[in-house]
Amino acid sequence: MAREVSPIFKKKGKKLLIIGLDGVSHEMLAGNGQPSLFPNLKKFFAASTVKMSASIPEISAVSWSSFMTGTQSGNHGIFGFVDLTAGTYQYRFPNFSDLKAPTFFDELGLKNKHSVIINLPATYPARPIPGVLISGFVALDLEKAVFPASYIPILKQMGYQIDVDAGKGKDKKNEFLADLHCALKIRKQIADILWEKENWDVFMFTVTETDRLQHFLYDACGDSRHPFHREFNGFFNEVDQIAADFLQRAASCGDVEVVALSDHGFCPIKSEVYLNPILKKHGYLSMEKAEAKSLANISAQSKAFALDPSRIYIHQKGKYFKGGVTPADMQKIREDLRQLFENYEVGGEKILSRVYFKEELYSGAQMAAAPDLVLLSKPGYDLKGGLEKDRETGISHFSGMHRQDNAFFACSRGELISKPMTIFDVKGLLYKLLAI
Amino acid sequence: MKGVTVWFTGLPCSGKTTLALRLSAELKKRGIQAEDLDGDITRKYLSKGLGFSKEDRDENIRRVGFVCSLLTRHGAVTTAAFVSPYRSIRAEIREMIGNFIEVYVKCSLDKCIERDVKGMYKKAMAGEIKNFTGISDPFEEPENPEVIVETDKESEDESLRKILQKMEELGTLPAAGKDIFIPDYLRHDLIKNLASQNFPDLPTFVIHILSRYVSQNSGSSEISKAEEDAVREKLKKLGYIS
Repeated sequence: MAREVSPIFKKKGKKLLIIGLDGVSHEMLAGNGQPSLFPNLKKFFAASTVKMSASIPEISAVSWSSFMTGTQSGNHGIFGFVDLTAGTYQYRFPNFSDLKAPTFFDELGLKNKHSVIINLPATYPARPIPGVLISGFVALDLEKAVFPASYIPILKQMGYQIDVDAGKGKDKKNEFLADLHCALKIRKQIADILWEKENWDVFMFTVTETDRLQHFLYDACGDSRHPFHREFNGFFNEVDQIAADFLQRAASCGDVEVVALSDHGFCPIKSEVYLNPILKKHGYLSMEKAEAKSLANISAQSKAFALDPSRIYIHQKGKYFKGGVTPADMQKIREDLRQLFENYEVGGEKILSRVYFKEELYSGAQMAAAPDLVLLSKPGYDLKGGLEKDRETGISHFSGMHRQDNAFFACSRGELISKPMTIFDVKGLLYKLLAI
Repeated sequence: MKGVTVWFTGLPCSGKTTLALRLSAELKKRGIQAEDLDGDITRKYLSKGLGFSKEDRDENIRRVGFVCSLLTRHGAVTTAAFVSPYRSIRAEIREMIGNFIEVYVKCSLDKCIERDVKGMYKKAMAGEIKNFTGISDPFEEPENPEVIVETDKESEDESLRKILQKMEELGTLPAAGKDIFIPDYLRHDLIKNLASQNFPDLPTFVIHILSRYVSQNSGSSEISKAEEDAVREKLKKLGYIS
């Protein structure tokens, strides 16, 4: 009896494979004089690999949302992992249902294109899409992370993990590494099934373990004496092998274009910098009780506060019920804050590349929810809200931090890559690759 | 506003008058004055002398229906709570009144007997009252009422909500603004904060209180409070939030 032919071989027209590598920097892929941790990917894409700018702030929720919608937060409405409920001091965590702009897989569905999207961050809770969606970070419950639901029993049976317990990264590193390998292995297995079973036009496989590992073990990357150096490099080589397997399969399928990208880069941490304590020190922020650790206790005299990682909000009258800053005072406070942060130094070094006013980063229907200023740090200075901190800087168990300007983008048709490339450009390029 | 008669039919002690009065009170809150008719009033002023034979019962309902038709024609909202056990006369007055909403107040006989503080069912079962609906006279269930409420299974509030919803659907009642119930802890929060602090912006604070409640109770985000806590923990472990 003849072997059943996979639907992908039967389907005509251009197809697209997207490999997402969360937090992988251009340097890590290119090698920069050192052996690349991704030799197969490097060889495949050769000269068609460029540095790419991520979103600002350079965090997965914003960057991947920008990737899938091809636009910035002013349009898609995701400004960070955490926001305040409008008019309140109550934290809320934006999710996929808050995304206000259409994704590429929704738009491709209108053209009868079928997408398989595996482990893409910022897509939880999963909703119906034209194809298959397995939500990525910060997905919680598999029952709400998979569309169509018919795949849930298969994933459960295979022991699919949405994410590893990052808590182990702090002091149970061996267990943490074992979990990363296990999660990756099972994710690849389910990808293999979907590759064969689904009649796809776009297939996206995202690895998020690459980000997790770097947060906790970035210092192992270039240090051969580090106790986890071999494990660190070995994990990335394993990811490279998986990517190579996909590339080989794509080549055997015929008309498949390939894209690989990250949502931000990485770099080592010199110091964490806590923005709310800085605002407190300079008289912009005060609490009703000195010991209060929640924004609910912000004083009516406060002029500004920060939300993670690097967003500053002016405490405006009418926007926040205790806010007292009038429109007439806004510009002066913004200018003063810009000056404060531009001149802020740690160990004699200025820590910011730039301070943006909201209109310099964003435009669109969601502007009302945008932070008033966004800070972009120099590599090594990890900005955080740090409302609970009683000092302005510090170090912690994290050794790596996100970096905005060294994400990477690679494409099987290098001539289509615009320079400089930003994550907002990717969606349009995907359509070109699909000849749409 | 266009007139309408909301006609409650059901066994004795099924809850017709109670619901009719609740509806009337709710309408008053919305600025609509309703006229309430029930058996006690009409038997005294409109149908004195009529008995409980089928003919007399039909005549009673016909007279009430006529009054309702006049009220309805002149734009009044009328609630009418009558056992009105026969389909034929209900069909007749529906025709007469025109803008007519039939509410079948459904309740088990056992429950009606349990509620009967006047002991009428007991007397009927003892043969002391003749032609008593449910015991010695039939109740013909409505075939296509606009609303069915089940007073032995649902709360008065639920029954009332059904009736109001149907009236809104039929356009006989303007849709009300969505009521937001402010729970005690938020009211205390409001009072405490207002007493202790000098707010530059009171209206925004009130909006804050309301939106806090709505955000905690709406299903729009599809993420529960417990899930939010889990997300917070995950983000903390990666240092993404403080």
